[in-house]
Amino acid sequence: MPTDNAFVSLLETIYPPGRLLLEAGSRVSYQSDGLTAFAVKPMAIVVPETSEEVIDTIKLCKRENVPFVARGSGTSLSGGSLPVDGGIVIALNRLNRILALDPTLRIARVEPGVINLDVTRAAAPHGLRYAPDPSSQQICTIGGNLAFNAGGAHCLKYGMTSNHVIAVRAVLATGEVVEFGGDSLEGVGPDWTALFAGSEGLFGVALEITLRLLPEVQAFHTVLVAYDSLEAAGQAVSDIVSSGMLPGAMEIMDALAIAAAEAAVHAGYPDGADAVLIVELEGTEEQLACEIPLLSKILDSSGAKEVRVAVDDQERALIWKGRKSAFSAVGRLSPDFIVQDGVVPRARLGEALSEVKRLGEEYNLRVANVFHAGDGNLHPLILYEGSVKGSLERAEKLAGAILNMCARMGGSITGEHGVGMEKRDYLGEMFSEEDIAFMKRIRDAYDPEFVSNPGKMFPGKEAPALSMRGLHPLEQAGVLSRE
Amino acid sequence: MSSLTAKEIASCLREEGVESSRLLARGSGTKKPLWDLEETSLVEMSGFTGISEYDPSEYVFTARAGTKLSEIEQVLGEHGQYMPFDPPLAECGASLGGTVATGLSGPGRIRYGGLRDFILGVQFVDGNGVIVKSGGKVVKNAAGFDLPKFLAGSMGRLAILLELTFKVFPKPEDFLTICFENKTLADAFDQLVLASRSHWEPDALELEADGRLFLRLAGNSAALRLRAESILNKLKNGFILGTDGANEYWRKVSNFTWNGNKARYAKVPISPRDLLRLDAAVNTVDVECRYGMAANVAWLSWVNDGTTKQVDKVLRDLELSGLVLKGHAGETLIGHRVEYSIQNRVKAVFDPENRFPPLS
Ligand SMILES: Cc1cc2nc3c(=O)[nH]c(=O)nc-3n(C[C@H](O)[C@H](O)[C@H](O)COP(=O)(O)OP(=O)(O)OC[C@H]3O[C@@H](n4cnc5c(N)ncnc54)[C@H](O)[C@@H]3O)c2cc1C
Ligand SMILES: Cc1cc2nc3c(=O)[nH]c(=O)nc-3n(C[C@H](O)[C@H](O)[C@H](O)COP(=O)(O)OP(=O)(O)OC[C@H]3O[C@@H](n4cnc5c(N)ncnc54)[C@H](O)[C@@H]3O)c2cc1C
Repeated sequence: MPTDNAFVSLLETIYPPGRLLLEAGSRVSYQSDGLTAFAVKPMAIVVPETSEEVIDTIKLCKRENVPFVARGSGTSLSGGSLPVDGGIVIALNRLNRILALDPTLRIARVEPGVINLDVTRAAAPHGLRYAPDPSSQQICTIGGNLAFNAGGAHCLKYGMTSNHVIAVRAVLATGEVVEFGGDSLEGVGPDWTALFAGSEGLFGVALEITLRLLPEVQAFHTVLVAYDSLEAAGQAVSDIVSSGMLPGAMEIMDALAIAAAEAAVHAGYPDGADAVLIVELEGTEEQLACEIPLLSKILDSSGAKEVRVAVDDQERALIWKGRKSAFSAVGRLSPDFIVQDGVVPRARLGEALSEVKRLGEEYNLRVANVFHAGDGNLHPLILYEGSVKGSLERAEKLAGAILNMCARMGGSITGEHGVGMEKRDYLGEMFSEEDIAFMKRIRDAYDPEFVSNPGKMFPGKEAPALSMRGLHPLEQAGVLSRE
Repeated sequence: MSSLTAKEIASCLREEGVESSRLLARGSGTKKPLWDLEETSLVEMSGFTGISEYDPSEYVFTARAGTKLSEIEQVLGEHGQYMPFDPPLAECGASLGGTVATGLSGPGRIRYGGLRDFILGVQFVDGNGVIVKSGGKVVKNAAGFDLPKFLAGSMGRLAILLELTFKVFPKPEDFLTICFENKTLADAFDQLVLASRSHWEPDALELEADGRLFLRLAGNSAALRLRAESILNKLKNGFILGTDGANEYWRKVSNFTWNGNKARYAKVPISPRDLLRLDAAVNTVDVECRYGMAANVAWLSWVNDGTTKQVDKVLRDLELSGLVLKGHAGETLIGHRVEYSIQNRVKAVFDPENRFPPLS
């Protein structure tokens, strides 16, 4: 590795001063992502405006053996975009052009720094939308979504980011520029595009991404249902699933989450409920006309305290507002919290929630639950007070116990937030040594020099302590809320 | 149940004496050009069968690679579920592993996604005979690299697939097919674009070279009738196909019998934008053609040996790649090829000793 100064002079051949950030202040702004407990100051931050600059930078890093981390908006909740010691950050926000949007083909080709919601905004005038909707969608980038295979509230029906990406142009960590996929939904040979998706920045940097767009949904039917217990809400989800309907979203919140959301946004959720279930049907008007009576019948006999149907867009928006604000709202109940996103088989949701509750009591910590019930993706929020000695350690242990439980039940340690820095020591809960060794060899094939986001995903060097303190700065500013 | 075990399959790659020979898995053998290669021994997967896990309320099943699609479809059907991407050749005995290895989806692909969008997990044997697992058994999972999706289309050249986990959906109560008869393919294409951008949620959109467009709807019977009426008001020259006619059409499409049993059949992924250009180009050779998945794939079919070369040239000129599914030995990939050095390096991770045939 060259000295910092020597490497900086090499970077100066690519970037003008305004786009090569070296001063302490900028280095502090990029030292963390959404997992704010970790912080590493990068050697420098570069802000490319063209693909060529990115390619030249990667070639330089490879030649000089200097690690790099690509960064979109830095909203990763697992430390994915945390800088690497002695390395640089490639900030991709200025590569934010929508290069082409073809309504006939229903595809959009975008640069990696394009904001998720901006794709839907650009598609809307054509009656189209981009389906993946992580709740950070106002701020996170398509490049970050691709690298982390981001999800959202509609994954059971529509899948995750990789289900909506049909081509990727990327510069690999070796400097090789590749174009995987094309303008067709279909391909011949192994699916290289799909392998790049979810590779957590370990293969290289995506330069152009081709997204599949879907027609806007014609009609929605959104219902808010209150229950006396989480079990009853969970049972209603099972009944809906076995009826043969395929709702766009099914979300559950527990009492603590409801109370927090109510205090924060006054969404008008029923008082005193131990759980609320949000079910949203979507589709053609004719299809909904058939499904609505079926859904009401199921809900009416599900032991609900109250069933409230959104009569217009405004009421629908209010129901979702309560749900979408839940995380940040819970965060306000406590000075610090940790959020996990493990998955359990849906049929074991009830069992998993009881276990989470039991664990919370065992560790003497409050846990709020907000989750994607349709796909078994939990989001337990563990509340603790960082200033109380031993509280953080207890919270970390509890978080670990929940991940163990998810793996033991045959689920996953992460449904959408990725492994990153935070969960790398838990990868072994899901995969054998051989499985992990195999994945590492794949990684080595893409990045033999070990320069692209090294130290993430795989168990290895001493990991910094696991902790997520408080809200993301953007949440504090009220810009963001999380799911 | 299975007469083979995963360990026995893995040990094929470790056996003394066969070290130098190349191996390839064969499912039911429906796609001959993909497995009938020179100097290659076959690992028969037809003894490695059975659905190992299926809980309808999870929308997920896991099955061994040699299991026939028809068996899976039947079991899913008993619980009102299905694989919405319509894996082809089910009636001909195609296996799940062969379907994944070929990366084949059918007409239903356009609504909820293709095979690569429904595969969740895989267990495979690599070229060293090591058994590796990737992905998961739940509908949502972001841990580790997505090897299950990657292996869709790997043609047995990277690994022997042992077990596969898939997401499934509730099967719609009913299907309804509308046929539009247009004078030209260009007219049909205009209709297709309208339908594909609409909120009618078409379940399938297939084009015939003679200008017919087949639009399939799926959902509740009553809803389908109403929806069909409003579509017929918007798009001209259409009529609702009777159940028998519709079934016959979709069966032909799925079984690749629309150009007879002897012909070769090839899959050529296209962008809808390529449709008319490709159609004009194949008119110069002796090839039958139909266009599936809202014009995202061209299915080409021809009978004469000599035609293969001509098709290859047409595709190269248009920079399109093709995969021959039914036909003769050694004709697997035709048309345009793109190669990057990363592909060889990844192949070397799966198969360092080249025990499986090369990727291209
Ligand atoms: C309030 C809040 C709510 C959230 N809600 C959700 C949710 O509902 N669902 C969900 O899935 N996630 C959610 N997240 C997590 C996060 O938003 C996603 O992981 C998102 O995809 C990250 O995007 P980003 O642009 O911020 O990427 P970053 O955090 O900047 O980067 C994430 C990873 O991607 C890599 N990367 C970035 N750009 C590229 C590129 N061009 N090429 C290669 N690698 C690249 C980085 O190196 C890093 O490893 C939430 C986060 C917050 C703070
Ligand atoms: C001679 C013959 C003629 C036929 N003619 C017709 C016909 O005209 N029309 C018709 O509709 N049907 C026909 N069939 C039907 C046929 O019997 C079955 O449909 C078919 O065998 C299913 O093949 P498969 O999908 O399992 O894939 P295969 O053809 O066995 O394999 C396809 C590819 O997948 C790979 N592969 C398979 N399994 C695995 C695995 N586990 N791991 C890794 N790679 C794997 C193979 O290496 C190969 O590259 C015919 C069958 C035969 C034998």
